[in-house]
Amino acid sequence: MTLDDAAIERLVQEARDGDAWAFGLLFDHYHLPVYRYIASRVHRPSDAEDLTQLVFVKALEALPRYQSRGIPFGGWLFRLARNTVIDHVRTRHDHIDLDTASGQAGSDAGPDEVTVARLEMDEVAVALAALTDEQREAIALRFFAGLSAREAAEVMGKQEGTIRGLQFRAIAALRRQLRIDESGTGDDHVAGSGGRIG
Amino acid sequence: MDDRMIDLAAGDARLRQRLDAYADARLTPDIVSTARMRARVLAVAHRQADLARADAALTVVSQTALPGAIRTDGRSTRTRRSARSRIRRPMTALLAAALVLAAAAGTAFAARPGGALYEQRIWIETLTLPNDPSARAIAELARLDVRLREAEDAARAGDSAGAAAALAAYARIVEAASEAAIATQDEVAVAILEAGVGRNVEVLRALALWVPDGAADAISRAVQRAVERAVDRSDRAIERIDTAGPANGGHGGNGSGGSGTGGSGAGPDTPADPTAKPTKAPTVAPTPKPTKEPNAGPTDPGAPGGQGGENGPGNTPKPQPTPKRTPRN
Repeated sequence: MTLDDAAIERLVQEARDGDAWAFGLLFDHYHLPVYRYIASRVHRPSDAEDLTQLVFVKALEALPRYQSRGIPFGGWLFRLARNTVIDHVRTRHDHIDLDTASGQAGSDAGPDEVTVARLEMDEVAVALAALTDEQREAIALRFFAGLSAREAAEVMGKQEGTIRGLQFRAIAALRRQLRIDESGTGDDHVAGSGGRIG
Repeated sequence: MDDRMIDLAAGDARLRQRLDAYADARLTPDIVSTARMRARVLAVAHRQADLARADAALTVVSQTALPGAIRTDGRSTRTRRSARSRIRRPMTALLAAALVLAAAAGTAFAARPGGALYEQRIWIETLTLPNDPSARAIAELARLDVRLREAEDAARAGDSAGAAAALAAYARIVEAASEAAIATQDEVAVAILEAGVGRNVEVLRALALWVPDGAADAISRAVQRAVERAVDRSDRAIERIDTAGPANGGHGGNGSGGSGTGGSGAGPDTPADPTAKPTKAPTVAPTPKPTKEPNAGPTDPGAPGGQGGENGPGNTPKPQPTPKRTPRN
């Protein structure tokens, strides 16, 4: 469902007036990017589901205090999501390292499911895990959640240029890790292929 | 959210493709998770809206009631309370609490599966079901889980009548819930029920296998018949959902799996205002609620009785194959 900014503002106003149906539409519009952002940070789907739900419940509770002073609703919502993830990671000590990323990604694979596609997914997970926290967050916000550089900058509390720098370095690192060269030709043979670096 | 595309260099199309694939495969909730999140969030939203309305009403009431609380002679009712009534009040409260406790204990005993008040308890549960189709489907699944637990507990305790009653109630709930989900044409509700009932079929089959080991022969037979009937009803419900489901595709679904509360009635291809509200009153009622308290026995002539678990002759259900599909994306 696509909604323009005016429609979103109208829905926000109606939701603030106690219209649950309007809030349902806001949920429909934002739940996927929010979920993707959270899932890319917490790694366990059940946690991602719980936290996504929590973000929307928090938004619902905070909605009467929300004022659109230059910050669009989406940015405000993602800031809530970011704080929720930070709280979660802080309290649960939920972090992931390279070994966990690769192990987790392939742990439930049965013999029939071990396909090239699955291995590629694992490889991407490992490459993402190798990024710094800020780079990973920039990629999650910009790419998985689909935010603009300005919106991502607002959410992360940084300058737009900083976000672009983080993104640039993250892409370079991912390209190296996934053995994708400048021309866009990747090494499709993913497991132990010993492909080109850089 | 303009400028949402990462300004990747042309050579990074491959990287973008892989990140896209990764996001689709690993960072996208399935339809059941989406429905669960949506139902829970909307349940909170509805509750909050109801509370706000109640608060507003209470404010009006308290404002109108306030002048009446003050007596015209200038003495409030509180100051006129005698010492005797101050002692009497806690005693009355204690007595009332004891009575309520005793009644609750008796009621709880009678409301066990196979008990005199069990059917009434099942009926009362239907009164608290939410109206939102996907939330309702989740609530129905929770009720089914409770029935399964009751059946398992009763079977374990050798209470065949209780197990049969719980399983008969299970079968009736499956039927009513699937009918309602199909009637509301809510694809999320349908998917939730299909997945939940499909999972329960496995539990029921496990129960059927487990019972004969620990129970007497007569008990085993009665419980097994009830299990088979519940499995049969579940499979039939899934079949009905499967056949009715595709015809409803697109109704109320909006974007990435949301149920679109109520559905607007517009076809999926209709380019309407995405924020246009649906008509308030749905044309099809959700789960039909019983109009009066049911009697202890189930209405289905072939269903196992609340006490005996007897099947009608020639109505022995056959074991059915496992459900065809579990919706995941």
